[in-house]
Amino acid sequence: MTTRRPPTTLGEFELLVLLATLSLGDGAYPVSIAADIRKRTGRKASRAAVLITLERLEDKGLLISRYGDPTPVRGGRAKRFFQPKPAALTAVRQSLGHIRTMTAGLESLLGQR
Amino acid sequence: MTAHRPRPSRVILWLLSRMSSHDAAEAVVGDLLEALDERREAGRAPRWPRLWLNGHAVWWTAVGLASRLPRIGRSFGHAFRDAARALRRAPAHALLMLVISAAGIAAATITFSVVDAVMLEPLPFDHSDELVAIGGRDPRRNTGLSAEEFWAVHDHVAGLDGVGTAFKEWDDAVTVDGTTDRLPVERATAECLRVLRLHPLIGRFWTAEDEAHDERLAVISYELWQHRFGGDPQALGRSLGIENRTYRVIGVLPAGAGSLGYDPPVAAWVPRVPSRAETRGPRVSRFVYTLGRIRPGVSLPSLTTEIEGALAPLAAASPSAYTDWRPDVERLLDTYVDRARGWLLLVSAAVTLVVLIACLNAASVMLIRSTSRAHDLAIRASLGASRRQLAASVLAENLMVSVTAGVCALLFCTWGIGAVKAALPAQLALFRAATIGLNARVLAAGMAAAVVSGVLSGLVPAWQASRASVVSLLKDAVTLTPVRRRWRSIFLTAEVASLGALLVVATLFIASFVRVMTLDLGFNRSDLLAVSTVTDYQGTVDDLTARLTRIQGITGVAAVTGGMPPLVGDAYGGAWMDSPLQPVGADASAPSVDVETYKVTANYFDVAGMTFRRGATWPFPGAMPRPMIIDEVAARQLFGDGDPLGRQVRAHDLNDEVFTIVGTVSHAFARGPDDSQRPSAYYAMPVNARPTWVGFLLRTSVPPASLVRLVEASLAAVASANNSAGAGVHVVDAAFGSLTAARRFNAMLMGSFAIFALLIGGAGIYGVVASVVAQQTREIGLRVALGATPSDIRHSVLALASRHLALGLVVGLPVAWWISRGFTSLFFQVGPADPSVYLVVSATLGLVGLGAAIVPARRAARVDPIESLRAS
Repeated sequence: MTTRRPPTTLGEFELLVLLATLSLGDGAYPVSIAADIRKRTGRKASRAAVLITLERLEDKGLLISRYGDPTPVRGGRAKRFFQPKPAALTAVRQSLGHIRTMTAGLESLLGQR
Repeated sequence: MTAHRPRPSRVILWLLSRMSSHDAAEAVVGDLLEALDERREAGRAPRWPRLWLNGHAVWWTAVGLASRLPRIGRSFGHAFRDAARALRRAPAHALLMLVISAAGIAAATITFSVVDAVMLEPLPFDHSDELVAIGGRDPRRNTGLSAEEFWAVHDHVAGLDGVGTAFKEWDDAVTVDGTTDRLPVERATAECLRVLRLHPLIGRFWTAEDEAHDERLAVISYELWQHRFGGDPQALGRSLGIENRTYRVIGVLPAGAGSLGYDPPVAAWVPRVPSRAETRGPRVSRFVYTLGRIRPGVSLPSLTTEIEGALAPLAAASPSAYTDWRPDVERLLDTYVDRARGWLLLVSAAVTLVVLIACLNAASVMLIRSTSRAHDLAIRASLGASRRQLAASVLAENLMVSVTAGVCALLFCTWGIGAVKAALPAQLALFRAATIGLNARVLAAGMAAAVVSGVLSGLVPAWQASRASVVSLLKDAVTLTPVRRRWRSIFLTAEVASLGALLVVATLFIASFVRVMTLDLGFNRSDLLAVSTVTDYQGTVDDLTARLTRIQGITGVAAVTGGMPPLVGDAYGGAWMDSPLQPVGADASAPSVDVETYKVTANYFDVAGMTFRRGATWPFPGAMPRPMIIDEVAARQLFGDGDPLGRQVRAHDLNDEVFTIVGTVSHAFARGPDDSQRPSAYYAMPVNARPTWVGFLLRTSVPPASLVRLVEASLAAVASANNSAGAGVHVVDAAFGSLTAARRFNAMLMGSFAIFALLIGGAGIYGVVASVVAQQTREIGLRVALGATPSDIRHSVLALASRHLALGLVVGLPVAWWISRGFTSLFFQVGPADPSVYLVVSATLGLVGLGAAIVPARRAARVDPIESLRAS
């Protein structure tokens, strides 16, 4: 029997989606996450790509999804909200740590303060 | 204001829900509707909201699918890995299924490739479906039209857009620059070329005006132009010799144009126009082979009616020529494929039966296999495999076998189609045999059918496996359920029935061939050479006879004219003369009888090995006034049971001369075994006759083939200067071989099919009985424990096989009779209901079936009750 090891690294887009989910809290669903990424990074993220990434993160055990109440504005359809699990914070910290480690000493080159 | 919200397509919603769940799909649609509202508020509302919604939903599905591809690929990989393991565990089953499927696809592909090339491909003419052949039919044979009838049709039938004639005799001597080849030449009217919508590559076609001036012009094929004129455009205007005439080349046809499937293709077209002169009389010569182009919207029956109307004045003028003759119109393609139709039907029927047997066998194997597979599935299900995984592995197993079988069939077909072409005897003269090739459409259909059937046959067990509980799967794995047992019986019975039907048809063909080979032809065909009609020689017939007699190894030489020497005429082409014979004197009121007439030397009967029933041959020419010898068929038709010796007959077509019957001989099957027993008469050849269209029969004391060159050389030495044709010297036994080649091929083909089917059938019976024994081991052990002897057990197993064999024969033999009736015309002296054939087939099938069952029966008899009960 094989067991899945907890993820230690995240892809770049996975990191963005996970950060947006953390930031939006209870209101994180594909439309709001895509809008948040666009607003903050200027990057145009398609809702389909966001949903696929969210489902992948759910498969990895970093997120959990639930359905909200149906709303009239969505034709009576419920929203699918995603919430981070504790492992998500670990994964984000680990990914950011890797980035910090790798950028150490490059501040002058990268123009960082 | 609430904006109108479009609804997504049900199909797209279903697709989305297949990606995860219904709720997730609904949520995605909600997200899309929300995005739609945002666009509206931003003033970027799409023009067609529903299209926008569905388009985005499809995009979401595609992105989702793409993201899952690695996982899907892994699932497929796992399914195929499991399937490969399952196949490795049961290699015999896998191999049997593979061989059966590959043989089925290959046999069907090759057969239908032949059928397509020969029968279904259109002729190589523009709108060839509009071309019709116009002729006639009397009770004995198909005929052409007479010249008068041709012109009546030409001038008065409005349903035809053009009428022409084209006639190909046997191959002509075609001479270009001193080099002579024997090639087919069409003799046609200018209108015929227009009807066929042929166009010259270079030059022109001859016209009706050329025909009026009797110009000797020729249009040659592209192949002749390339091979004999080097493709030189200056070939136009050059000379072309056809037999003893010289023609001027005026045009060249494009490559492949105008060839009607002859091999070699038609080399040249030259004019021949039927005479418009009236030839009224009681006998009408109908040798104008007519073809026309039917106008769009005109049907064949209405065209036939119109032709009958056009011929009505001729029929009124000569009623006796129309008493039992009717015009006949058929599609031009049909006139070519008619000969092959019966044979192709036979092969198609045989292949269908073989494939049916193979399929039934495969179904039995699958059923047996499903039992052991159920056990595997049960174990996997108990270890946590999902329904989808179980179904996928079952499907993958069947798919692997089907695809491998398809690839094997492709390899076999590429080799097999060439082998089939090589095996087709030239004497079969199969139309367009040279164009037979692997038909990609048929092969694709065959492979698709194999894959689809593989998937379909796997669906039921896959579905059952996905629904059944682990407990029931484990239970079913031990024994077959009653439903499966019933299906196993049905498959086995149907297999035996199909096998019985095939064996009966094959045995009828083999019996026909045996009877043909052992038929008393009325003359002795061994050690006999024939020189087909020769002309243009120096000296007389007697000089040539003396010359041939001097060749060592020849013990007798007889000459014949008026008809061809026996067998060679039908085998290699020839002509016959016939004449009505009318008894004279006291028998004058008796009706006349049409007989084939042969003018022969007195020793003809001795050299041919014919037996005199009464009387004897004339001692020498002129010894008695106009002697005639008739065969027993003519004697019976002319004089009934009376003694024909001394009676006199008048021969209407031999200058109305009166002959005296001096003997009767056995009927010679001069036209081969399929001779319709037409009556024959022989009369004396005069002394010192000119050697014009004379044939010779030579009795040899050595193998006749060894003398062919000597005879040819001997005759060539006295050929006159304008003799370009030479003499055709043939071994009569080889001519017999040629005439019976189709029957030999059919018998061989059906025999091969029968043996192949017997092997499959035997294996099928063995497999089923063996599986029954394997699955009933516990029951057998119990019976032995209760006192059954090994003999009882053996008999009970053999009784099971016998029941299926008997039931299969009861169903199969009537089917065999029904199928055989369709081939009655291809049988020889054996009927479709011949009881001996059915007895032989029943006995053979019984022996093979019981032989296949005996091994498992013995195995059953050796079952140890203690071990079997302990094992269960």
